[in-house]
Amino acid sequence: MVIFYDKRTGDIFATIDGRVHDEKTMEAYATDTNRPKEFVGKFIIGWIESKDGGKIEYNLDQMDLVKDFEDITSTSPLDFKIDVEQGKLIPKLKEGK
Amino acid sequence: MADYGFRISQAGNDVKTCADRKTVLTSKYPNLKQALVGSGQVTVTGNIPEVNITHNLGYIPFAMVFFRMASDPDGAYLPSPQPYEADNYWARHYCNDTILKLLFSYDDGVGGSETFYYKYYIFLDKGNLW
Repeated sequence: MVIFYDKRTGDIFATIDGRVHDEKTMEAYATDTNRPKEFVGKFIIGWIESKDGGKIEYNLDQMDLVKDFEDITSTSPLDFKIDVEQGKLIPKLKEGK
Repeated sequence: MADYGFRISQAGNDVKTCADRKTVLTSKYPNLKQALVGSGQVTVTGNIPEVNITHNLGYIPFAMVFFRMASDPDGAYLPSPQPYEADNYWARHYCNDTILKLLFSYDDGVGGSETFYYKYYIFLDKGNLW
């Protein structure tokens, strides 16, 4: 899964689903009017295919979260944010909680 | 049926003789091939935000977008495009050679905001009709 987040807040605002990503997918980007590209960070959980056919691992310690996102549960990556310092997903506090 | 190709039948159906509609996969017909699938959210606060998913495929791909609003958490995802209706919102999307662009608008008349959750599917198959 490729997760796009706002570098200023850590807020996750878009994703690309999947576990293994090729070069073409890694060129893909998500931005919006409020988040131009310079403020957008990418966080990857899964594998990226290298040109020689190998796979490079990224943040597999958080693969259980991806499994939850893929499952029929209501867990969504949009309910999390990126803790940039720790390099991990943390639940986003909802208003009133 | 031609004597070559690839067929997988539904459970309980003979793959050699069953109707095409009883297959789960057949090379007789084209299948949509996913290029990028994902989700996201954007909040409309008076402006009309543009969400850009850069696919860089070099041609206009076939794409589908579904969305729902945060104020309707139990609501089903609706297909884009949706025209302006009594709820004072609209949503639409289009593709060019490099980008899937999503547009959302919300106007409740008192300057309120709305968050749209979206799910997008971009296929390797071409979406232009010429």
